[in-house]
Amino acid sequence: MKGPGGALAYLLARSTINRARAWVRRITTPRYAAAFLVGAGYLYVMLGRSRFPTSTPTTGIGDDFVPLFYEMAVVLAVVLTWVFGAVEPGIYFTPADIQMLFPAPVSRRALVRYKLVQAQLPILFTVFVWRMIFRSTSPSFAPGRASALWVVVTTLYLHRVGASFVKVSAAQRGLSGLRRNAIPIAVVLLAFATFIWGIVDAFPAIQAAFDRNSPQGVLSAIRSTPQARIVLWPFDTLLAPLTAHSTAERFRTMGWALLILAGCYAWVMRSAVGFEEAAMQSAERMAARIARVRGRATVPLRAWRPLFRLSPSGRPFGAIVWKNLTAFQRLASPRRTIFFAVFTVLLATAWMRASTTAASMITGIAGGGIFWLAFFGAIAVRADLQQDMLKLQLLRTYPIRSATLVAAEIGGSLIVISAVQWFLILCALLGFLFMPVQPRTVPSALIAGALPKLVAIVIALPAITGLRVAVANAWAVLFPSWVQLGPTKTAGIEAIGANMLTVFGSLLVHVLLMVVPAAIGYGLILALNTLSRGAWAYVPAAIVFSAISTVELWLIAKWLGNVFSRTDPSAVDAALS
Amino acid sequence: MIAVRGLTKRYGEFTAVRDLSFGVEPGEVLGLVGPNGAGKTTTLRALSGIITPSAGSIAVGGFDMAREPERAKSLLAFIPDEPQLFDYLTVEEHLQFTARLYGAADAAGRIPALLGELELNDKRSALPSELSRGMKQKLAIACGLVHAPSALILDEPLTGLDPAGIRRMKGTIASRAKSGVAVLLSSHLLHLVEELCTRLLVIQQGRMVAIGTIAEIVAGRPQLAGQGLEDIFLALTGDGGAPA
Repeated sequence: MKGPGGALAYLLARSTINRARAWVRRITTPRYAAAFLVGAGYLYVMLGRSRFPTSTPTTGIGDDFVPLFYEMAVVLAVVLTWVFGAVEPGIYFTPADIQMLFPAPVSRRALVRYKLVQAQLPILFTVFVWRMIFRSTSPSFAPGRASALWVVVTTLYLHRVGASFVKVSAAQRGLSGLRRNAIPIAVVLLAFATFIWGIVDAFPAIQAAFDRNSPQGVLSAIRSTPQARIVLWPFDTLLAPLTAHSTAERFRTMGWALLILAGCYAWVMRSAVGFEEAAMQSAERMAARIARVRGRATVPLRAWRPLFRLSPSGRPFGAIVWKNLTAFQRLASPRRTIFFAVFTVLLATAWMRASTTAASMITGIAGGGIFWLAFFGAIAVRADLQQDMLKLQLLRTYPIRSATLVAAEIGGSLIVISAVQWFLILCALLGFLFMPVQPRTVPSALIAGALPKLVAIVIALPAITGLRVAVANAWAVLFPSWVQLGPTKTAGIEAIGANMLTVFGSLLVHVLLMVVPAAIGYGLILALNTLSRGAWAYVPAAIVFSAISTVELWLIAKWLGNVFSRTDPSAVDAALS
Repeated sequence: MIAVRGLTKRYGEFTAVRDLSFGVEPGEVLGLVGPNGAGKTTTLRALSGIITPSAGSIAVGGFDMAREPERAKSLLAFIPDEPQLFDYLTVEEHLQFTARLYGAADAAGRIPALLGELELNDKRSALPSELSRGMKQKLAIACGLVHAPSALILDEPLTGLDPAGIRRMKGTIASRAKSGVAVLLSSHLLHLVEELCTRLLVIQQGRMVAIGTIAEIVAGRPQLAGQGLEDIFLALTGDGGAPA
């Protein structure tokens, strides 16, 4: 192929090959190989066994309900495209495309063709995933049905691009733009009018179905009108190969479906409007959107006043903790905070209503949000090295001992999580005292049995949470490529595997770290019970548990500080690449 | 103020910096120059305590970077070419935070002066996401200066600055050196190096090629006499640099 078309084909081919090579190189490095294997295994187990059982496995998705479902989904997609679709080109040009290709002597049609071909990769991936999902319950979802699905997805994509061109043209040129796209606009309006006409005609039948409270009846009444059959013909024709019950039927119907696809392609190529300016605006919006999706730090921040003012003199430890608390405060959006507060109150109320005794209430609270925070809060809060590893170089220039730095980083998240946990306990306690649940029995039961346990939980929670935060931080320092650092987010099979390894691995280490303090604390409870200390034995046990855990935390901070001071910044760079 | 002896940094089989020895005295501005990949960034990272040398020693103000890193670092400021800022701290908070980290209790009076000197007064309550590239660079510079360091390490300090900012930055470096700060400046802008630096350190492929004033460098190489710094640099690094 000569000329710009050849150059674009080369760009497409080389980009695809190089991307594939880079991915293979990445997943064959030791740090990603294990993650890839775990992720691939997980996907095989999840996708290999379908989650969509059908009543007649031999026909699979060709059941009676399925064609109607597909028809409605496709009609909805088309309607939404016209009604709510943004006024921007339905094809996304990257900043590199805009900078390199727009000034080049390449026709608009060549550019559109290039993007359409490029879009085939995600489309084929979508088809592959659907094929995997339906493989086991629908043996007939073989290559034939997969190719039928490809026709549907590609046609919908082309339709979306074509509709976007019509909108862009109308926005740019006003009436002349509308005139330029008179045929597609007329077709859409005519289809809409015909459909409404059909509904008006079938109104008595629809009314009757409504009276019978039969949604299927309503749908059937609408679809059976001649007008609806005309409007739905392209949709049914497009879907016919997908819902065919036999290979012969699929072959017979495929020709018409391909004709609709070809029609959409011709429409898109013919209506390739001056999309350059809109594409640039769209690229900027997309860049902002990607930045938002990739991380919290890129969400527009508000410089709320810090929780407390940092004194210019004092230990550097305090400065790091202050920085992380300020970060958490500014990253936590008001909407998220309100949601959390409402959720907390609802949860506490639900527990209270469900509880009939003080003991079950305490168990319910402890077993719920508080312990979730203890074991998983470190993943959510991340006001520590999980965020600051990206600033490794800067942190290393600070005149502060590495162990102190690590301890301060752990301290930031620990303070946040502990504060939320204690707030939850307080909410529950207040709710319990003021709710009309067995009011006469509550105080004595609380004091006799549950209060010591509650005090023990309040004492032990920071130690449990601190160990969990320490493990999460250790994971970030030791395996930066497996952890989401700061606002970065990785995708792909290896990322799924890395997440699983991180969550399960760090949980295992966390539990192991708690074995010794828990065993000693339990031993103390047994010993004190022999002295008839009752439930109050939990309190000294919690103190001992916390003391031993604090020693462990100190040892971890010291060791992790050494590792941190030796970590090469290029390891973090490599993790992000 | 800065004393480097036999600095070597290896990455596996690759040696980025090999047996580098030099010093920077108070009031001196040493220009570190070399072609891309010469080992400048590795040298600066080692000097500022970001990476650990494979061999050799680094001392700042008499404090060994390996044995007493906190005391050595407290005298230093490293200003990288790509400013690294915390997304969620305002301009003023960055300075307060840095002052506290470096134990600069007297920084409260210095912060307004620095904000004025670097034209950040209007942006004191802004977050980094609201700053331009040049403003971010100015903030990184302000953070470097807030604790009145005794030694200043700068990597391409003019990147992203406008002409007025460049002039002001040059004045800042010169005034700090005049007040006794030891400055190590790495830059590809040879005219800047020529204008500000009292001595030059030329490295290539991790090795020292030349060190001294321009006159001292030329004195040892008579064939370079009468040539400009650009020609001297190209001759020393063996890169003809002839236009295509």
